[in-house]
Amino acid sequence: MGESMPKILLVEDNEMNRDMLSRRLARRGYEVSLAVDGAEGVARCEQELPDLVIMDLGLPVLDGWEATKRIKAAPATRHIPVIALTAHAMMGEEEKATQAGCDDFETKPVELPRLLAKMAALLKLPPPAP
Amino acid sequence: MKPQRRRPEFAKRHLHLPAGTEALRTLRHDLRTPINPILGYCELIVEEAGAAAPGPFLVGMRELHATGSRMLKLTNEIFSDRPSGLRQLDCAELQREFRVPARAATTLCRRLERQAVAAALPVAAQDLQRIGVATGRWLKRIEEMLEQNCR
Repeated sequence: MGESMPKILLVEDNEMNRDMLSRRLARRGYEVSLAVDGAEGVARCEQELPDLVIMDLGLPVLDGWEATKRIKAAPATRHIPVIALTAHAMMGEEEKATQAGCDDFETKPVELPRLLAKMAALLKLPPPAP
Repeated sequence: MKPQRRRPEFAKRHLHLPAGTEALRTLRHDLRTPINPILGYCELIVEEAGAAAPGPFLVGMRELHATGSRMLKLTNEIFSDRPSGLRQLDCAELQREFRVPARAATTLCRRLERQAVAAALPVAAQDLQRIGVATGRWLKRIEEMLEQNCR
């Protein structure tokens, strides 16, 4: 990672959630790349080698659990941290995401300060200002 | 949002959600999903509009955010395993509980959209339309849940 802000790949099928979260991250200086399903997420991850992936789990074509497994199975992308982001907030969901290879887990609705803190920790950046 | 039909027969019925099933998991997911843009766009509008926004607009945005939070609280409570006053209500009362914040959010969105246009905040106006759409989707899914699970 150079001096530029980290590049985040946001994999999210819901247009409104994609637009809203990408704008909020861009406002904080992150470079944001988008994918609309799990297969595109895996492909973009391989092509763009982002610094971090935010992965919705309930995705079309290829779900977020399987997409994360593929990212973590590929030598070129396995080092890239993945944060699962899901409206599934029941017990066992975080464990399921961790088993797929996700490095952290966040539920929707997004509490942005908490998500930013998790991103900063995985990216080894100073904690964001409150 | 289209006006919903009243269902007087709901008064004699109670909600029976299919505990522990994939259908319940999906329903909970479907109902939490539209609340993410409702709350997120509220916060984004305030971030982006900032000092350029008139005071009453920002007050209205806080009110809209609180209404979205109420929708989230209702959604979480209806699926909670904990004892809940909400679960004691019959379906007609439940329907009213869910409609009140949804209608309040819709009314607020329209009013705030007009204020955003008047204040030359076109992006905020567009985002408020999206909040209105998400609110309509949430209420539609609530109505479907009641139709399918009230007995």
